[in-house]
Amino acid sequence: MSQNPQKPKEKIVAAPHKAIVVNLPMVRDYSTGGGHLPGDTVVEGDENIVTKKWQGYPPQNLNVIGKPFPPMPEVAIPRYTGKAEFATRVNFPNQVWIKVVANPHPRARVRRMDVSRAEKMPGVAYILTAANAPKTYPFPEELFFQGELVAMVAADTEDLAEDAAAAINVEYEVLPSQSTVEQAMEGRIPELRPRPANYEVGDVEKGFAEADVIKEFTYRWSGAIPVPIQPGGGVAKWDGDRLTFWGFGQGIYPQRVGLSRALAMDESKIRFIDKYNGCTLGGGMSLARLNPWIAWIAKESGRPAKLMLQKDHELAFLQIKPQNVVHFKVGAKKDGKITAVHRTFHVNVGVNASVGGAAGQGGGRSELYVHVIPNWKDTGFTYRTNTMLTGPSRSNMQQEFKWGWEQMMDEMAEALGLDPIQFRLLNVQKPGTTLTHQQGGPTVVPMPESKNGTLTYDSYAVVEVLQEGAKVIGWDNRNAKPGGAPGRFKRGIGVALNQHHAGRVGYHDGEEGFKWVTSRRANVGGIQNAGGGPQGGGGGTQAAGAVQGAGREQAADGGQGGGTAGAPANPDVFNGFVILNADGHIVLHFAQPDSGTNHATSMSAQVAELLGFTDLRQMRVIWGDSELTPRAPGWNSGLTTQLQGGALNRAADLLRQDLVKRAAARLKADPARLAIRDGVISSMDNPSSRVTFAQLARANGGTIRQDAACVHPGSIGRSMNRGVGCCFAEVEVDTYTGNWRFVNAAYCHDSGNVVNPLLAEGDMDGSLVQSFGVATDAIPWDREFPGTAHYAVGFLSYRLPTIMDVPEQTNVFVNSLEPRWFFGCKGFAETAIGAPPGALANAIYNACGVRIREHPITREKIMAGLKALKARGETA
Amino acid sequence: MKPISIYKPVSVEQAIQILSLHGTEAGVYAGGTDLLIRLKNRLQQAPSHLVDIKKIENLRYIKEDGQGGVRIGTLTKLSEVAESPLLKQKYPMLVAAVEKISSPELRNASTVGGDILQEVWCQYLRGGYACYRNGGYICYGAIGDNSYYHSAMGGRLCYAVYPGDIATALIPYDATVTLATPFGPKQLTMEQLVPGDMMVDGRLQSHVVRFNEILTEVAIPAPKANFRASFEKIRPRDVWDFAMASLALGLQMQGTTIQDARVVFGGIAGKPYRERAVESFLIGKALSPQLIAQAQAAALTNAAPLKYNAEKIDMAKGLLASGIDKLSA
Repeated sequence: MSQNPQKPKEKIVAAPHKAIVVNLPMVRDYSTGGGHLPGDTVVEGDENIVTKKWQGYPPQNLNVIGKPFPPMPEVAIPRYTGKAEFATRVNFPNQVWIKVVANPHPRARVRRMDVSRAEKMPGVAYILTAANAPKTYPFPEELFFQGELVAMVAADTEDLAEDAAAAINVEYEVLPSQSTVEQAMEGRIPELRPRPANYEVGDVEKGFAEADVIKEFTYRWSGAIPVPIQPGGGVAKWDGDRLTFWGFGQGIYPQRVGLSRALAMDESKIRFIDKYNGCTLGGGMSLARLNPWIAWIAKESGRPAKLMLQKDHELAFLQIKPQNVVHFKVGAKKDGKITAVHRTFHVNVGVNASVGGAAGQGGGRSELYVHVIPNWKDTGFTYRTNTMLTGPSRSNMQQEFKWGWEQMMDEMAEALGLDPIQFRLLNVQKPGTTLTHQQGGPTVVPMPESKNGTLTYDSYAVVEVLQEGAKVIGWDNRNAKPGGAPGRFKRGIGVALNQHHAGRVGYHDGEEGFKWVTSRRANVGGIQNAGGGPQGGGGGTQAAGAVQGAGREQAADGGQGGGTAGAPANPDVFNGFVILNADGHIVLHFAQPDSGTNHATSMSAQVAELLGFTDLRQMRVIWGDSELTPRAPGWNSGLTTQLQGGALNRAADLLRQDLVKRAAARLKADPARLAIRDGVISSMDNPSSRVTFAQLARANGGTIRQDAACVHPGSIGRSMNRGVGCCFAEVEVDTYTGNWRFVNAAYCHDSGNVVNPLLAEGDMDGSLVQSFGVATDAIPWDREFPGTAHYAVGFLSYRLPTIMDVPEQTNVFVNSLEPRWFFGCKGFAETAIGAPPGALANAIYNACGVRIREHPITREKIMAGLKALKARGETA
Repeated sequence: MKPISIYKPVSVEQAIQILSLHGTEAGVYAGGTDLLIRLKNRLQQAPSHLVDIKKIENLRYIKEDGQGGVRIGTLTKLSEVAESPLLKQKYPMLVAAVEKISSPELRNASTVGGDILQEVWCQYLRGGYACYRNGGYICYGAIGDNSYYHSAMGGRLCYAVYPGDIATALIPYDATVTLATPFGPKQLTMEQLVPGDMMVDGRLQSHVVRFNEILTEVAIPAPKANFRASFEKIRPRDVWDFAMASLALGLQMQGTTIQDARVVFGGIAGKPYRERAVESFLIGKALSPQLIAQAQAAALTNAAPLKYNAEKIDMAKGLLASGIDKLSA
């Protein structure tokens, strides 16, 4: 192969959809291991041995769910025509523009600041500094990272504000700092010493004693950062004592609570509007901490105020994926069964102070959820450093920890002489695997289904995602010997597994678990709350401190948690309501902003299905405005369709029952003999006896409304269900130059029943691109002076993958038919997102024999590796 | 943004008058894809008097001259070069190079003159640090993070690499340029135009265009028979970014023998780096992949990588192998 076998892209051609949906049998008995390995048995089709009953609406005879309906027009058309109400686009004639003065040092204090020159500059309306910041929400005293806020300047135009910001003279007292995980590990700054994060299951020493092969590996992750397309910021406008805020983020109520706390004002006086986001990607959540100051400037200047961060400032405020160094000691039997894992990890948690899961302090233990590791020990250290905020950022604790784990699994398989897929299959949890709560992972909480202290997953397609993906990518074509193929351009295939924030299912009101969770939450405060924390901003009383401190006592792996005091009871509850109006339209009301994922369409599909419609034409949505929609937490990790959708499904279910009751009374018919189809309820015995939804609404005075709620049982979804995903990557390495391309991907998801394949595919295409970006881009820090100015050349130092870089992608959706949820659906937004970095590293190794243990994957590392191989005479 | 004034002259003469009036405070404004960013980033070195030459007629053309060569006006957009059938037919390697410059959006805005004379993309300069190019007396690239944008072939004051691809690609074609000056037109070869890291009128720049001169035209001689050329480029992503290393290779063949050679590396030095050692090695040899190992051994022997950019040299040598491979096919 001396010629490049597949030419690099020259033109982008629209390709047909390639998604593959694999349907699993509806009735299964996995009690003997799932039938996937020799000795297992599986029985299909016998109703008597089905493990679980359906929730009431089995995935049968569906008219809407599973169909590729295009996005809802009221959401999509404004977006495509430039009319969508992004905060970026909201402007008022007399508004002031805000610009930021940012701290240039990794760690400093303001010794002196002179704003006198800036104050006198033309157009300057207000300058906010520590001196005049609200007492309830002061500026940070210690500037803990480069880019931290020093002052905000409001002026008539953006340029005037920028000029005035440049005229502010600040004298800093520079403090000793540590920014990278390596600097932190040296431990030179006593007040920033590490906190331990240990965990143990079983007895690792015993496990190592039983092992035939023991190996040790070290991997480094260099952090990563997301960049939402929409600039961070917001617009605040006061009318008397009432505030309207057009914001950005993953929910509206958390931000509203944040504003109310920070400004010590009644929540009901704040209207928070966020109908459209240009993505948030997790990282955008931390920008909410600026909201109260924007509102304060608007109040003090008496004019609407707008902040749209310029890119370098925004990059400093975004929440990033933390750096880490992970060391594994792994023991396994000759047959491939892992007997023990001792993992030592060091995580750079940045400005965050608390120990919890959200910033990676727990070390990303979701490997525990995927595998059966009888003896596991974590020795963890988390370091507070002069780095930006760390936390969920294109998923939480996934890529950064799967990077090491999935390469370790590949290296271990090689050491044992096993195929990497076989090695994984030997060690993963499967349907039917019985686990204790402890083995299920530290965040598993006892739920009604697991009262006896053990868990058994039955909708869990780990075997299928690996097997189906292997077929799609052509696993058999991979190199038997890494780098073994002849020629200049070398192809290779790699795989990585992932499980996290997947298989999300909640409890809706009326279920036993709903009561269970809501009473528990009311006692301990919110995990996924509707107030405070980084989602809300203003949860605490002090800038960086707000995010690092108050109210982050969440459970490990707690998602975007935070918030103890002040939030109303049951802050985790997603509320929603549906209204049938006199025109026969079904209007869904929910809080969640649209971030381009079109959850409104998916939720409308579920509601339409429940109400007997065959398309979405009668569906309407109202969303993203606290005056029009009911209270709900923000979203994260793909829970919207399941949890916000769960509330709406439940409401639709109640509406259906209500309508049938009304129709039965009106038609004097047996409710059991009524059929619903496209807004008409008719008698099965006498089809001419019929009544329309619209007639029933009019008879009720114009509308019929049903409210319902749904709750999130814990950070990883209901204990009893899990989704899983994997990524197969095929790469091509140019051994002359170290150049490489991501050629093909099979991106596989244990998806449950897919609500809308069109949207699912779009979502998963984005997911892969995001994660590919994470694999190849670290925090774009100055390598010589880390923690000082970064992102100096904006997007040139943050190299987003573009359409020219992305692979041919085949999405594989394994319909594992979640029995506990409407129509067998479950969440799958982050089933596979953690896998691509590890899969790519494994594929590069398979292609050319270069193992990249230090993230990110770069051309120069491949080149250096190839050179080293050549020097050792190991290349083909 | 600092206060600026914008002039819109309608002739080259007018433009030169304005430039002469304001000295080094003025700068030529065409596509704006480099200049406006420097202004927006508040670089001290950015001009405060912009001389917008877009209103000047007859600077935007691609035309054949009487001798079978082609002349390209300085205001010609990169996308027009990439799509020109004439250039594709006569100088396919130039077109290949231009197609690999940045993104379609930027190619629609950027001009040929702007690409050739663009400011370096060192992150310290662009971040407003007071380096040699921005009113200071230090090169941060030499002492700091020099992973991508700095020379692996040594330097004098500024260690930033010359970022343009057009100049690199035009050297194998022996292209020349015309500058309009207050004293009439001036001709230079492409190599003479971009010698890298020069003090000109008190400013550190990669090219020799004085404050009151304007690059008006690029002239490429008629293509010769049996001339083979290839352009190779490696960058961190397939769009957006500048070359980590690039190579414009031109071979004048006589039968299977290399009669003359041009080996020009981009992205590794402060100028398009013409590697004469490899050229002399190649001349007289029969073209084949057998030459690769020896050509690589002869290449870049005086490399002087900085702390983080040694791989640039390995990549550049890889591109040389790739180029010879391709032209041997």
